[in-house]
This record gives sequence, C-alpha cells and structure tokens, in this order.
Amino acid sequence: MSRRVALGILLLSFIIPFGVLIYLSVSTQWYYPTLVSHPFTLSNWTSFFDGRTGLLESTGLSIFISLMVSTIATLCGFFISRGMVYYTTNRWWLVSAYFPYVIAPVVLAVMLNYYFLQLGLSGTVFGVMSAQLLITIPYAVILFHGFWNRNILNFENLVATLGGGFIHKIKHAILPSARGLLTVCFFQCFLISWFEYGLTQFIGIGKVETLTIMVYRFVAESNPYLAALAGTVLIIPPLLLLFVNRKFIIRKGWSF
Amino acid sequence: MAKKLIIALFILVCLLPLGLSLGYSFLYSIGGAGLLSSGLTLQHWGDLFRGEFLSSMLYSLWIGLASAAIALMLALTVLFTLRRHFESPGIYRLLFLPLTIPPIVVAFVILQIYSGSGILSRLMVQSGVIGGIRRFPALVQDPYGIGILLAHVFIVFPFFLLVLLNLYQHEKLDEIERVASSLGADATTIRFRLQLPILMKGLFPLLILYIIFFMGAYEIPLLLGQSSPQMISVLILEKLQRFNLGDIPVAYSMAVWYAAICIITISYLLMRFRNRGAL
Repeated sequence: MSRRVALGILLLSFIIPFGVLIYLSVSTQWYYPTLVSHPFTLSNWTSFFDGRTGLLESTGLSIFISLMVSTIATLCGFFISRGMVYYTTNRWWLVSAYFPYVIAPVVLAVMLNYYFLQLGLSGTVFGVMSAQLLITIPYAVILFHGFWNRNILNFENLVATLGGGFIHKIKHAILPSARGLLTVCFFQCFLISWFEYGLTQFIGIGKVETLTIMVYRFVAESNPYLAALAGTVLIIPPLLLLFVNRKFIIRKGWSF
Repeated sequence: MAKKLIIALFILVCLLPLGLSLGYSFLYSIGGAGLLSSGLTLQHWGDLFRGEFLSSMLYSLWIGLASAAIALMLALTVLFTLRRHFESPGIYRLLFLPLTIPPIVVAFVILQIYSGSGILSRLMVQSGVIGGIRRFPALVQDPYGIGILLAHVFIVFPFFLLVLLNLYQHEKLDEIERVASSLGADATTIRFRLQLPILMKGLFPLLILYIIFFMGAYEIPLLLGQSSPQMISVLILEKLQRFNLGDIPVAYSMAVWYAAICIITISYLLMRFRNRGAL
C-alpha cells in the first residue's frame, strides 16, 4: 500500500508542472494568498492566436530555426561521421566532437561572440542558427558514429561492385538501415534547438525572440500568465514526439 | 579527396570555431586583445583565484555534485523499491514526461510553486500552517541553491531511473539476485555487494557528465539562483555585461578556465571508458 502511495506521489510530481502551466495560462489577477478564487480567462490564449502578444511569431520563428538547424545538423552529422569512421583511425577525432557539446552553450556563445560580431551575425536569425549548429552538428556526429560498421561498408561495396555510384550507395545500401536513426537524430537536434536559451539569448542579443526567450522575458516582466502560456506552447512539440515515439525524447548519444 | 573534404568539414564546423573562440578568449584574458588592453599581463588570471571565480566554481561544483547525488539516490531507491510497477508500459511512459519540459520552463514552474508567493506558500497560508508570506522559508534564490537542486533533480531523476531500469534488465540483475539468494546471500548483500556495483559501473560516466552539465547550467540558476555566489555561467555573463569594461578580461579568463576543465574532464572520461557501454 505504502509503495503504491509513493509511486502515486512520484507520478503526480511529474504531472504537476503541466498542471501549473495550464492553470496559470488561464488565470489572471492571481494575487497572494489567493489560490483558486481568482478570475479565470481564455484571453491569454486568444491574445496568443490573434498575435497581440508576439508569441505566435515567436512560435513560428522557433519552429523555423529548429527545423532548419535539425535538418542541417542531421545531414552534416551523418556524412561527417561516415567520413570519420571510414577515413580516420585516431579516437581523438571522436573525442574532439564532444568538446563543443560539453561546454555550457552560453559560455561557448561568450567565447564566440567576437567572431559573430565581426561577421555581422549577432542579433540575426542566421547567426542564432549558425551558433546552434556548432552544438547540434557535433551531437549528430556522436550519435551517428556508432552506426557505421563493417556491414554497412560491405553493402556499399556491393552496390559499387554492381556499378552503383555514391547516390546509389546512399539509396540502396545506407538509407534502408539508417532511416530510423536519421529520424531520431533529426528530432533530438530539433529538441536541442527548441530548448536552447542561453546561446540564443547571447548571440541573438534579445532580437531573435524564440519561445524560450519569451518565457524569460515574461518572467522578468512579472507576467506569469503569458510566461505559462509560452511554456505550454514550448512543451507541445516534445509531448507530441513522446506520443509518436519515446526514442525521440531520450538522448542516447553518449557512447563511451 | 573525399576523405580530405569530410575531415575539413568536421574541422570547419566543430573544431575551428571552438579553437578560434578559445584562442581569442585566451588572448583577451592575458591582455593580448580588447579595446582596453595595455599589453600582455597575467593579472586577470591571478585575480581569478582571489575573487568570485573560486567561490563560484565551488558553488557550481556543490550544485553539480548535490544534484547528481540526490537524483542518483532517489533513482536507486525507486529502482529497488518500485521497479515492478515500471513494467507497466503506461507507468514506464510517464517517466519520459519530465524530459519534455525545457529547463527554462522547469525553472519557471519551480519558481511558481516554491517562491514566497508561490503555490506552496499560498496553500500553507490558506490551510493556516503559516501566518503570511514572511513565515515561508526561502526555497528559491536561497544560499544553498535548493530551488536549483529541485529543478535539476526534476530534470535528471527520471533519466537516471530510465538508464538504471535498462541496466537492470540488460545486466540480468534479477537472475543474479536469484542465484545469489539460492547460494545464501541476504537481501542487503545482494543489493550493496552485487547489484549496486554493477549499476554504478554502468552509470558512472553519465553521472560525471551530468555533474559537468549541471556545473555549467545557465537558465535555471538565472531564475532560481541567488546573487552571490553565482553559478559559473551566470557569473561569466554578468562580468561580461557589466558596465565596468575592466571586468571583461576577467570574464574571458573564467570562460577559458571553465572550458579547459570541461575539455580535460571529457577527454579523460572518453579515454578511460572507451570500451564501456554507458547506456
């Protein structure tokens, strides 16, 4: 009985944050020490959909950045990891792929900022995407590194023996085996970009208003209702991914 | 040709930006770059170990170690006591829920629950446990980093539990328990002398990684941390964005040291555990 209670409390603690976000997103005038006897409203949500809060644009921008970053990172990581496995023997190449990923993104942004300023990339969407790629591409390289093996190489050689070129190798030897991992990598890079705050804030200098930036802005403005609304919108894509396939959520890129 | 192209691309997108950024930060930190530079100096490096940097690193280390240790103990306790319940696919799937929440949103929710005017404080006032907001203990932006710890544990505990559940199954610890039991081992011996070492061996690299990640956390301490001492990422940003331009080389010195510590630790881990499956 006590174990069931403990399990119940544990699972409840996982659900509470979702409840808090939804509760606050439909609340207004939630003054201390009121808990439930304050007015409830859908005006926060209507202001989201009619674009008055700027959150709709932020959602669109976040989706655009995350889709672009995940697509480029997946493709680059896929081919770079292939080259690393086939053409290099020194383990330090793989080890070095961890370096940009393990340093706090915001500290990486601080150190990179000079070059971004010189190149005119600070405060631009392209700059934020470039900065996020510096984290997501190494992650994709690490994730794909374990994929390439003797079997895949044999398939590639078989296609080449039968007269196939590089495109044929990809189509007939690599893609059938890699499709699953490519999807996982795409969605994980999407989430890294979707969740990113520090690097986006520093390189974007507040001008690139993704959803995470908006959450912090509303918290700083003491507007918990819109912060909760932005937070709710932020968790929708990961929840959908979890619903489709939980492999998209958990990062299994650490291969020691 | 293809070989050179791929390696060049890897260097271009992964190593060159990092190398250039480290190089510039290093130069800035020793007075070799920057508008106010008056020649090479090691003064900023020397200042690091007398001022906020050391206390900030220690505070970050405390947060990293405490977050990982609490999450680990909680995950092990749940594993050993409630493991059977997670065989149900529905309950197992619920473990993934916290992983869908971005850190900035976790920090916001913790703030809304545990701050002085938060839900917990309101509940206690409404139920008559405390008289008002002033009687509520500081659980966020507090000297011990309780709010930060709560947020970190919320994020990483389900992940540790998922890894431990997989390890338990993968290492066939159920069978080991049966064999040991039939050979006369008691429950404590089985837990602490057989199962725990196997689990810890599998989890150790991940544990170290999370300590590094937590040490460099930014958005959670930004919302839930106190003003002094600060976590290292927050301190670096604050030094860099202050009006005092003299603080900028100090910020770069901190960044160089922090990055060097991260790189050395991950290199050691990867070389040390090269033949082991972490997950």
